[in-house]
This record gives sequence, structure tokens and C-alpha cells, in this order.
Amino acid sequence: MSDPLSHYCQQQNENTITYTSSTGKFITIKKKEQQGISNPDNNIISNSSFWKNGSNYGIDINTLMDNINKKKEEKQKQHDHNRSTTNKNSTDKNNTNKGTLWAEKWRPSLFLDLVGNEKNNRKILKWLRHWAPLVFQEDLPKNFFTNSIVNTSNKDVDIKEDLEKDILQRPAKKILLIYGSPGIGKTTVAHVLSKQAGFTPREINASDERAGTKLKDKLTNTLFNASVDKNDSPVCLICDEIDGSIENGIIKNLIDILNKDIVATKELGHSVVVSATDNVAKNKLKSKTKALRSKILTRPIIIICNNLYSKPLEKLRSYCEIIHFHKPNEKELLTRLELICKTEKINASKKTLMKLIEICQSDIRNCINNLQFLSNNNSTQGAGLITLDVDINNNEDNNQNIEKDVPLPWYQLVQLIFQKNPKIDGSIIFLTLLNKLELQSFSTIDRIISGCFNNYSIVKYSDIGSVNKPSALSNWLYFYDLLQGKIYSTNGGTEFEVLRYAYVIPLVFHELFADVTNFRNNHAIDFQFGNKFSSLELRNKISNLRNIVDLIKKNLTPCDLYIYYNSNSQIFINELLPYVNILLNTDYLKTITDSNLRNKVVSENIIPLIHINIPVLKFIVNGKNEQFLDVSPPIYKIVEFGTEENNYGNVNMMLKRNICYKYLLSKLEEYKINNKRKRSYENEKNTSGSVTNTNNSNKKVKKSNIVNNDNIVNHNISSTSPSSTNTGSFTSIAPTLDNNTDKRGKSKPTNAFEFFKMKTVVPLSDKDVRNGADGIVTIANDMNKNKKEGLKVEEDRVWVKYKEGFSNAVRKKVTWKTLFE
Amino acid sequence: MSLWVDKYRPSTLAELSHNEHVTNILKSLSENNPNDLPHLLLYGPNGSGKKTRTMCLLNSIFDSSVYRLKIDVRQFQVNSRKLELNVVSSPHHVEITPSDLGGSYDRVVIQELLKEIGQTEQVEFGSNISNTANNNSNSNKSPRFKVVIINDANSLSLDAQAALRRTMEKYSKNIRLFMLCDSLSSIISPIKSRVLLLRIPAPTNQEIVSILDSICFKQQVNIENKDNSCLLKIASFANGNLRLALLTLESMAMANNLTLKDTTSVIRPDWQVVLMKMSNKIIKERNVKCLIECRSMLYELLAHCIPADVILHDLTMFIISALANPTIIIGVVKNASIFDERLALGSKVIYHLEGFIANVMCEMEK
Repeated sequence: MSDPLSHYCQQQNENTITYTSSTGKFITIKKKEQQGISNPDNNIISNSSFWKNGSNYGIDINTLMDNINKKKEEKQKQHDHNRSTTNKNSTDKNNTNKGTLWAEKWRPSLFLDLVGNEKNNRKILKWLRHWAPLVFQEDLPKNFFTNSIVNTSNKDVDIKEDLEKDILQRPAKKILLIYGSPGIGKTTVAHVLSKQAGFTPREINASDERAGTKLKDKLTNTLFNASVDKNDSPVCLICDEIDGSIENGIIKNLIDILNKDIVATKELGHSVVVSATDNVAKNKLKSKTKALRSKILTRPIIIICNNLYSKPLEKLRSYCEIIHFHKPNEKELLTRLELICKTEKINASKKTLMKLIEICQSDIRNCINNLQFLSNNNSTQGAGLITLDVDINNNEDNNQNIEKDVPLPWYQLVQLIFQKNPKIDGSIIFLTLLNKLELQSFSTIDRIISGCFNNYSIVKYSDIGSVNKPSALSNWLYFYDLLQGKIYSTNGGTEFEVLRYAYVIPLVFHELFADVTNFRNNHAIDFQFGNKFSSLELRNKISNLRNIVDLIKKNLTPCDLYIYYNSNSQIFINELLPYVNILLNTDYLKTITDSNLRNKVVSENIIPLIHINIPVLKFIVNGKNEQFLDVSPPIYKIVEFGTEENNYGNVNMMLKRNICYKYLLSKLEEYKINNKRKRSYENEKNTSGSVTNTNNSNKKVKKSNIVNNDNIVNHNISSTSPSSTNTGSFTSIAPTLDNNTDKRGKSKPTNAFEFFKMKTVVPLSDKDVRNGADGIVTIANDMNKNKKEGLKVEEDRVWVKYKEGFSNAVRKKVTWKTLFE
Repeated sequence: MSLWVDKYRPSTLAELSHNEHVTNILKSLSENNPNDLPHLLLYGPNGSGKKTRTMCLLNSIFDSSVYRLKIDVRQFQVNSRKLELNVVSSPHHVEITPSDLGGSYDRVVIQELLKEIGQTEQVEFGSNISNTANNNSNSNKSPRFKVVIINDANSLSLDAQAALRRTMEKYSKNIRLFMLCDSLSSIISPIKSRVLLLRIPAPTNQEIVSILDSICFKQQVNIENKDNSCLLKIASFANGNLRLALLTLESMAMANNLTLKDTTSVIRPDWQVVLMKMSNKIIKERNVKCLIECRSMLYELLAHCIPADVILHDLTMFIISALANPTIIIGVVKNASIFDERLALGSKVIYHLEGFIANVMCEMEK
């Protein structure tokens, strides 16, 4: 508890101690004799040898306490004296009391007056003291860094690490940032501690101009110019309320200063011998050019804000030593308030004060303000000793008067809206709700309304089940929708004032759906605040589907298809895709008994569908090695309902489809092979020269190889994902079923094998690599011995068709050799 | 060509099947000096063949190279925002869908793209492309303009339409506009006065049936009953939308072993099935529980990119078709119109759709 004092105290030698008083003066005190405890108060700490050890930067807390107590006594005496001598004066004093806010009057001016945040206070003081070597040319105590306090906490160790020395023995981070909720004494702490550490606080707050050159001058003046008066102590800059500055001029300036400082320090660091003692460093510093010195930051800066994460602070944050100020402990607050009450002659019980603290949410400034307000109220009634208790207790029921205006979370409000307290008059509930709603921002109102909308079916209300109320509600929701449209309208936000009408809509919900039963079993109601039905969720889903549609549209290779359907994607979604989906559910194939007819249907209707690239058939292998026919892009996601829960979409349907899919696959293979043959003939005819597609690694091809269990068709279907670009390299998975390495396969050119990096050769496979819309590389390879096809063995030739855009402008003959060179 | 609707799509004016008088107008336009061709605005319901006719017309004015298309992605810079628009183009025409951009950005596209096209004079294609030389010798002269097709013209913003006005006159030497839209109501009158308005009516049920019949014949689809009642069923379901009719026909034929019986049920898209279920629900149970169930269905429909006005329209139709009492029907229609307006003015569609359902329920309670 007594450690903090020692931060600013220094042990000069065994017998004397210097400490810096609150006004910045240095006071040298003789050490007391160990046994000579003159003041009985000093008994608190009996082991004074503890202090002698210098474990605590050398200050005798006892001496300090003595001094303070003496001063207090003197003051008290004077006070009493004044009171007793002049009764008239006392009334005058009351008047003067009214003139100043108590919050100001009772602002702590001494370290001991500070309430709460002890650890943080110490941290700040330590940080400030860290500037001492530079500013006061003092040596830090040896144990400043090797913190040997008996009850060393982890935090202290952290501080030690944080406060690393730089060449000028400044803290590593040159700015101290204090943040915390309002009214807990951040500004006060900064002022008190800077005074305590021997600085003169110089404050820049939101009331000052914080932009332009004026500010810059002010900053440089305070930070870099030495005071004329020798007696003045060095300045400590306190930038208060920094997050309030919209024009972040001050932050920009600070960052500028810091950056310059870093550069200058580096320069300095190069020239100064690292091992130099402080004095040497100082001498060297003096010998430095003025320009360099004027850039080095030699004064501490403290920044105070409420919200650490406000946007203007973003850049500055990394430069700062950040200290979070917590709300003071209620007990500490209570003692402080009791002291105030005692001196201001207010009769307040502990309970009342606790209540006050609770109402003000530990905001000490607010507490004192309220205290003053309440005491004034009573004093006008002529009471000498003010009794607060009645006042606050009276306010218990409707304490909105002094209740701190803090918006409730929106979901709590939603619950409140559906409640009706039977004990309270309806109009009062209405008013309370309105008050609470008016504290909310518009976005929260929106959330409240959608929350009400999602939940009104869950709660109980009179006339339940009938649709009259929802239908009445619809008119109000329309009204709200119009309001929102006005507020977000692009033609300037001039109609923002209509926002106030938006508060009415939650009240409509209250009017229509609030009921006593909801009040009684509020906990039984299972409110839904999830985002299942939120507009955001909806928008995400829609945009997902739109992306799929765009993907499909992009991949429509035959342009004439594109022109008929691009006019409106709605036609695509509403008319075309549902039917394409139905056609692709090849389920119906098994109903066609005539095999010729089936062949015809597949080759004329389904394969072209696949071929035109609206969908690309793809195979999914699930864990059990089962295969499904899947459609990619997933059209079913757009047109089918009730499949969202299932990750694989319609696995059931695919299971059904499974029966025909082998058949379909064989047809697909056949079609492809025919196509390839056709193409290869075309290519043979085409005798044009060299290959444009030089780098095979430019082709990224995603492959998925599936082996048919039936061994009827052994296929190896590859398809590129449309989004893949022309980078990467071929990857290939060797079909698993193939266990006999075919001799014929080995007769293939070895480059080809290296290229595919395959261990085995697939005798019956053909590789069709289709690269989206960008270009088509087809590698027809080894497609003989197919039972159905009965094709002749072709030479091991690779035909590469390179297609750029949609024109067949470049079609060149390529062999493996040229391709892989 | 894969889908029947594309497979049997006419590609020349001579092949066009329904609405002979419109076809005749188009024929006369293409046979006269093509340089006299006016700006065109084709309007008519969805699936009545506006685009098909436009392409046929282009085919007859130029040659079949209008079907040789490529798709470019054009980028436009608007206030530091980059916009992308797919532009389909052939040697003779450019096709844009400004409504893809959304908002009022279409004005920029109209201004930049049209000016760019309008300021470049077309070169003689006949001299460059050998295979078109024959065609050119047949026609009196290859037209010196490029055609710009604007899809979905009724969703052009007022700014964009205003931007069109002067462009249409100024660059008329090099440019012809073919605008396609569903309804004329949102086209400003200065535009209307500058174009030749051509209404493409939807084919009648009889016309649709005859088209379906011919395709069934070509595709060897058996129709059991010769009075075509099944085809008629499809036609009445399609309601003049030939594309829808053909898609339905194909999927029905596929799903039923290429034979159509009288009893074969019409295949509807899933979203319509959901709407039908919903309308039945609304009529049967009129309480809040049902309303909430409808709400989740509505959410799902919306999440599947079905626009709110389509939902409202089809739902109303389904409800009306199931109702008998004329006063209730009037009430439902009245509500539908009220909420259609609200949908157009507001942005929170789910509130209005649910409000519509609630109001309809109230109407039926009376």
C-alpha cells in the first residue's frame, strides 16, 4: 500500500532523503531514528528497517504520513477555528460552496486523495519518474528496474520490461495513454502525478483549438522550449479528451513529433558511445547541433481518452504505453464520499451513499455532482444538517431523475416492450419505454424493431391467434420502412429529424403485444435474438446465390445462349435454371425402357447440357467410397428448397440418381472420345506452326479422379474450377483401381510420365483437361481398348488445343515434346 | 444447342412462327434500304420473343456473323468506384444490360459506351471478311451503322434515359438502338418519340400449342391424346411465355419417358410449388402460427433470389384461383395492390409480404 510514495523519493545517503512534493519542490528530510518513534501513528509500520534497505527507492512512508497528518490537523484546526470564531462567515462559506462545483472542489490534489486504481497510479508515476534522468539530470535509483519490492506483482515485472532504456534513458514508449470510462479520475490522476513527479502539467483539451499551425506551435512550444523562469519545473504535456477531436490534427502532429524523435534519437545513438554514463551522454548531447536536439522529445506526454479504439487514435496507439483505468472499488468510493459528506456536513448513511454509487455506476464525478445537487435541494428547505437518506429513498421507485442515462442493450428492451407490469399504470410504462428508446441510436432501433418482429409470435398477448394485430402492425411497419428510406436516402441526410418518429414503432409493438403474463414469466419465454432471420443474413444468402448465377452466366460458352438469357438474371433464376436442374436430375433415365431411346436422350439432351458448360458434372466421393453425381456450379442450391441444411445438397437425390449415373458416365466418355477423335482429325488437318502455350506449369488443373467400381468404364474426369488461373502445375491422382502396370503404357514417351508424375499408367483412361473459359487444353491419350468403343490404338500423340477467349483463333498442333520443352 | 428452347429457336425472320404482322414489319424494315432503319423499341411480355426477333432482324440486315459473339468485361470509373459490365458484341452489334449495374450508374455506361461507339465510323466489313462478300453483293449496301441492343430498357434510370435522348440523334449516323423492355411505362416520352415502337404480344395459347406440337413431332415425343389437352395445359400454365412453355415441355417429356398423357402433371419450378403450398395454408388456417410458418417460407423464397414482387404476384394469383367468393377476391386484389406499392416504395420486403398475408387472412375472416 505504501509503495507508491517511494517512486518519487530518492535516497541520497543513509541519513537524508529527498522527495518531490506535490508542487514539484524537492524536500530533503532527515531520516528518523529507528527507535525514535515520536508519533504514535507511525506504529502502523513497525519494521522501519525495511525502508532503510532501500528496497523502495528510499522514502520513509512514515515521515510522509506524519507530514500529511500534521497538515490535515492544521487545516482542521484552522477550519474549526474559522467556524467557531465567525458564525456569519459560515453562511458565506456555504454560498461560496454553491459557486464552485463540488466535483472541482473535491478534485484530489494529493496522491493520497486519489481513489482507486492504485496499481495504475503507480505505473504512471513510475513512467513519469523514468523521465527524471533526462529532465532533472538525476540518477534513477539502482533498484528502479530490478524491482525488489517484497510483494512484487507480475505487473511490476511487465513494467520493467516495458520501460526499457533508450540512449537518453527515456521510457521505450514516449506517450502514456490513459483510457477508461468518464468520471473516474483520469485527468485528475494525470495532473496530480505529473505534479508529484516534478513536472508542470500543461493541458490541451477539447476546448482548445486542435487544428492547423496554431496547434503545432503550441505543441512545439510546450515540448521543446525551455521555460524562461528557472524556477519553473519542466512541463508535462497532457492531451485530454483526445478521442473527441474529429479533426485528428493533434494526433497527426504528435505522430510527426514522435517520428522525428525516433530519427533524431537514432542519429544521436550513433554518435554517442553506448556505454557512456549519464553525464557523458549529457555532455555529448549538449555538443550536438541545435537542430538535432530540437527534434528530440524531452518531455513526457500523457494522453487521455475514453475510447481506446476510436478511429482517430488508431495510428497513435502503437506509440503509446497504454494504461486502462478501471472504475474504482465501491468501498474506496464510499470512504471518499463519506469524507466529503463529513466535511460538507451532510448526513448520509452508508446505505444511501452505496445507493448513490450504484446509481452513478461508480462514476465518482457524477456521485459528487449528485451529492451537491441533492444537498442544495435540501438546504433550500432550511435544514442545517442535510439529510440525504429520505431523498434518495424517495427516488427509489422512479429514480430516472438521477439515473445515469445509459442505453439498455437492445435485447433487454425487446423483452421490456413485451411486458406489462400490472402494478404500474400503463401510461407510465409507456413513458418509461419511450425514455429508454430515445437513448438508442437509430441502428439499435432498427435492431429492436426486427427483434420485436421476430418475437411477437412467441409472447403471449390478448386476442392471441387472430391475425388482426399483425395486420394492424403491417401499416406501422410500412411507416417505419418509409422513415428508414427517408433517413438513408442518398439526397443528403436532411431528413434525419424524422428519426424521432421511429421510436414510435417499438411502442406500437408494446401497445399491441405487451401483456402481464410476459412480465410474470419473462424467463420462461424463449426469445430469439439469433440472426437466423436477420436482413443481413438474408442479404448474405442472396449474394451467395447471385455469385453462383454469375458464375454460371460467365461460363455459358455458346454465346447465343448467353444473349437470350443475359437480359435479366431473373429469367435465369426463375425460369431456366429450375428446368435445367430437373433435366440434370437424370433420375428419369431409368424410366426409359427402350435402350435406343435412352441413348438418344442422353446424347441429345443431357450431354449437350453438360457440354455447353452450364453445369459441369462433378463427382463427389464421400467417406464410404461411394460416388455421387454432382452438379457444379450447384444449380440445385438456387432452385431447390429445403436443402440448405444438408452440406452436400441433395445427397438423397444423388443416391437415387446413382443408378443411372454409371450409364450416363459411359455415355459421357463415349461422347468425349468421339469429340476428341474429331478434334484430333481436325488438328491433323491443321498444320499450323508453333505452340503458344509454352509453359506447362502455367496450367493449373484441379483433378478429381474417380474409378468406377464396375470396371465397365474407367474414367478419369478432370475439370478445372472456373476461377482457377493459369498458374500452378498439373497435379494428378492415379486411379486407384489400376493395379496392373500396363506394358503398353510404359511404351509412352517418358516426358509424359514425368509431366503427370504418375506412378502407374491407366490403360483405359483418357484425360480430358478442360480449362474453363480461358483456354482449353485437351490431352487425348491412350484411349484405346475401350470395349464399347473398340477404337484402334492411336499413336501416343498429344493434341493441345489452345483456345483464347471464345474465338477459335489459335489452334495449333502440339506434341508432348514441344509442350514439355 | 441443347435445350429445346434453344434448339428450335428461329434464327431468321422466315422461321418466326407467331405474330405474323410483327414479322412482316420487321421483314419490310430489313428489305428496304437498311440505312433507313429507325431506332427500335420492342416491348412485350416476358417470353414473347423480343430477343429472338431482334437477332433475326440483325441476321437479315447484316449476316449470320451477328451470331458470332464474344463477351468482354468493360470497366467504368465512377467517382472512384469501379464498375464492371459485360458487353456482348459481334462485328455488327453490341449488347448491354445496364440494369446489371444497379442504381443510377447506368447513365455513365450509356454516356461513355454509346459515345465511344457513335464516334467511330464503321468500316466496310465486306472488304475485310471474304465470306460476307457474297451476302453483301446480294443486299444493296451493307449498312454503315452499328446496332446497340439495350436489354431491360425499362429499368434504365431517368438520368440514363435523358442521356440517351441526345445521343440517339447526334450519332444516328453510326449507331442504331434496339431497346427491349417488358413495359413502356417507365420509358420517358422523348425516347418514345425517337423510336419505332413495336409491340410483341405474347403468343396465344393456340399458337403455343401448335409450336409445342411441332417440336414434339420433331423430337418424337408421343402425345397420347390427339386433342392436345396436355399441351394446352402447358400453354395455359405458361400464360403466353413461350420459353417457359418449351422448358416445361422438355422437362415433362423427359420425366415421362417421352410420352405425354392427359394425366401428366405440369412440372413447376420449386419456388412456385412452395408458393402454392403457402397459398393453400393461408386459405386453410388463418392464425398467427400459420403466419409465422409463412414467414419462414418467405425468408427461404427471398433467400433463393425470388424477387418480392414476383412472390406477391404469384401468391395473389394462387390465392385468387382457389377462392370463390367475389367480394373476398376483390379484397385480396386490393390488398395486393396496396402492398405492391409498399414493396416498391420501401425496402424491408419481409414486413410487407407478411403484412399482405396478415391482411388477406383478415379479409377472409370477415
